[in-house]
Amino acid sequence: MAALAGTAGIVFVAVVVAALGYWQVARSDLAQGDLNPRVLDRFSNPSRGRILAADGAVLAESLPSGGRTYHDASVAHIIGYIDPRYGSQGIELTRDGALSGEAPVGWGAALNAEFDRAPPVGRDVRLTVDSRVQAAAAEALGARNGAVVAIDPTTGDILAMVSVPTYDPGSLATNGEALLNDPSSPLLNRATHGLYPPGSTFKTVTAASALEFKVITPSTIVECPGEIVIEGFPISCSNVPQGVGRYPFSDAYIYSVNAVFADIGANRLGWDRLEDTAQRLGFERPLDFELTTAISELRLPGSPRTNVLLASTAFGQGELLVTPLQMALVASAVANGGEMPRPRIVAGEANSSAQFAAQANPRLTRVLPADTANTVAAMMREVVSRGLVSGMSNLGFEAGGKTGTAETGTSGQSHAWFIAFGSRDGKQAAVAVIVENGGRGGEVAAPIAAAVLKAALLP
Amino acid sequence: MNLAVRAIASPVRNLELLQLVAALAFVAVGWRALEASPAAPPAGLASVVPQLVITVLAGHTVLRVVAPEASPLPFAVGVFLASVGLVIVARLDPSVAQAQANWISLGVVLAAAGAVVGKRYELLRRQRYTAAALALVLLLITGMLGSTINGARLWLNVGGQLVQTTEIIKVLLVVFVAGYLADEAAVLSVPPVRFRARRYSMIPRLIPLIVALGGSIGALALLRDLGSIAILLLFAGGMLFIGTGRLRYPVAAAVVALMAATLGYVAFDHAQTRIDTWLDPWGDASGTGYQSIQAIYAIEAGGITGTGLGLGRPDSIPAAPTDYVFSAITEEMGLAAAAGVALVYVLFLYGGLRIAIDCPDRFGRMLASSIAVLIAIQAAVIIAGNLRLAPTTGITLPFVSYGGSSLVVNFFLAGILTGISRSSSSRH
Repeated sequence: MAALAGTAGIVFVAVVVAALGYWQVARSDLAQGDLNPRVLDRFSNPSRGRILAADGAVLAESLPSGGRTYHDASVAHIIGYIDPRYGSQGIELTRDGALSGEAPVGWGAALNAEFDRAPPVGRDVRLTVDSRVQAAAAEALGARNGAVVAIDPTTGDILAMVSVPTYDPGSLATNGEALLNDPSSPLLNRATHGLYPPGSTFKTVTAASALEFKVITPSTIVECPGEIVIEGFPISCSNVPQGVGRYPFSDAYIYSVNAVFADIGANRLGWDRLEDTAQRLGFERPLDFELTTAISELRLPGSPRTNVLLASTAFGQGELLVTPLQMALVASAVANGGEMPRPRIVAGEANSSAQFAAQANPRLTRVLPADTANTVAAMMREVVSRGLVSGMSNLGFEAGGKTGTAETGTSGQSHAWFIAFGSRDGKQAAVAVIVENGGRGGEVAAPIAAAVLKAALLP
Repeated sequence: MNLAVRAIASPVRNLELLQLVAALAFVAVGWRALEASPAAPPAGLASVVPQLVITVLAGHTVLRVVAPEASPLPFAVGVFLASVGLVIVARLDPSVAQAQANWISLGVVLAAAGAVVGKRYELLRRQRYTAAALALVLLLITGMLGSTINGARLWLNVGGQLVQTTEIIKVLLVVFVAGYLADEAAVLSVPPVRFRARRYSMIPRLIPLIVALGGSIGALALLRDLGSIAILLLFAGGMLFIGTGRLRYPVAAAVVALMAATLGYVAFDHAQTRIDTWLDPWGDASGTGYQSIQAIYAIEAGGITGTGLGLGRPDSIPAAPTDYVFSAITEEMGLAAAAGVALVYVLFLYGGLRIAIDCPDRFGRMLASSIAVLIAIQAAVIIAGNLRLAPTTGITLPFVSYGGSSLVVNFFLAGILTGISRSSSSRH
């Protein structure tokens, strides 16, 4: 009998521990549950850490009363929000451990925290965002819907990330439903989740692929007789000054001749090699990034790899859908001699004594051969040096760029794109700009990129 | 050896003192942690700590004289659990902490009284049918004159003090079941007798038990105390098994419990709500399921080592000090402490059954195991309810939850257990 009672006792404790384990370890989703007062507590903790720009500007901070204020609407999509009803997004979500002070750094500190249960004091999080570049990008884009991403190509640090329209993260509690239902999607981070046809900016990828697989060289003479027909579909030779004729491939890139790229893509390059290059540049997979990103796709999932589709893909239309962040990374890889940095938006978390640790080394991945990247970069510089785009002349430093004027497939105006890079005294910056339904990239988007590069590179 | 020397020299009581000091140290450290937290109780309330120390040590001194060789386990376990309870109740609702400390003090007095009674438990055996009749009468009075709290009519107003009569009924039924089993277990434990093709049923021998338990359960159903019904059924099944060694009794009890649950589900709205809420609290998250969901949130927030005393939000669970004190422990002291509390109840069960085994006579064995099993089952049912392994029952966690009647009665039962063990060793 005693043995049976003992067994019952052991079974009872085992069941209790199993149930405790289930609720306490396996069901961490409950921490965000409806009506859980701890969610509100976390939000209204007056000691929640601040979110700072790289230069120390305060972007988000908590008030002694427990409320949280956001000082710059242009960073709303980076910072995100934390709200008992709508949950959490952005850095407020990804760095909640440090901000709420609940995730001590390192095993030793974690062990000590078990014995020293002071109420958690939030730690600051510092971003890579430079408030001067961010302000320039926000001002240049203005009220037009679209996005701007600026990256330091040597480190991957995001210098600016703007998405318009924006919102005040502090207004979610009072204005949440209206923001959610707004047809212009102010809550959407267009820089990471906006999927747009890239237009001619994608010729940078096609050119890089054609050059690295040696199906062409910049000086190869291409011929465009007015239009080129791919399996019955005619593609125009417009854009070059002389209209039709024979000229080196570099001119076809610089002047953005669709027919030449359609011909090279469909008749010389092929799907396999274009996909190979694009995938190395980050297409068709989620980017390794602090914030979630939409996947940039060469074609719709399951769509057949036809030659006609390849022809229009090669000059940036077809079924291509890309994020501005992805195009900024393409510009970064080209500017950085073929090495693409891992994008980074958090520079560091303060430790318990409010000190920021030394920055980690950038992680670079070679995605293009150096000579290919340098050749493409040289062609991009010629786009600027030949004066083909607005606002990029007389910058005071060397710069390159590529326009894009993407047909939207609807009746609206084309999306205006520009990707660019610049360097001055060893400092580098790469930019991607899109203005939704803005018109011609070289006229509308290029001046925005110029303003951002100036803010990033000029003292 | 004279009494004074035995009292001072008793090595068993020295062991008890050691265990009590550990429990009191928990209160001191826990109180300090509370004071350092945002949920600090009012400064004036700190006097409950010395109050507890003094009464517990006084109770221990009385036990040294009354029962120098009795097992230290029942009293030490009771004090330890009450210490945990005092800290967590003060954290959840400082306004009742002083009352809880007073109830513990009274409980300690009753534990000493229980030890005196337990020494002469033979006297209780004679009162077994009186106890059963008293239980039924008490239930009747409660039904007629009782006050309704939280939908159940379980309280009697005695001179301005609300007394939860079901707690007193527990003592009476323990005495009855122990006495009944001491009489009948020998008969109940053999297979039915056959004589000239006629089968002599043992049902007649079960009639006293069925009347006493059936009457109590019927009355409790009318009083809407579903938790006590569950505990009574499990207790009866467990004790019949311990008394007879035959598995058919606990199985029968489980079947009756299931039938009762089904009947309750069909017949009583509040039983139906309880079970529906257990199966799907999210079905009415801001209404009937609110308490259960808040308890689950609290448990989740605890993790392995807890948030720390005063640093969680277990106060967001409605009626936490009485019904969800285990969830509160889980949040602020973590899986480690919650599993520890569960283990301490197993220790109480073990200690009680050891006392029973060492007891020289059948009634003493039955009485000791009744007390151990009753408290263990009550703890198991409430813990299972807190962890959503079973529907919530609205009963208290023995020794820990806020509630005077329950504390006092459980300490009294622990005292009886102590007294029984003393008599066993003195006769060896």
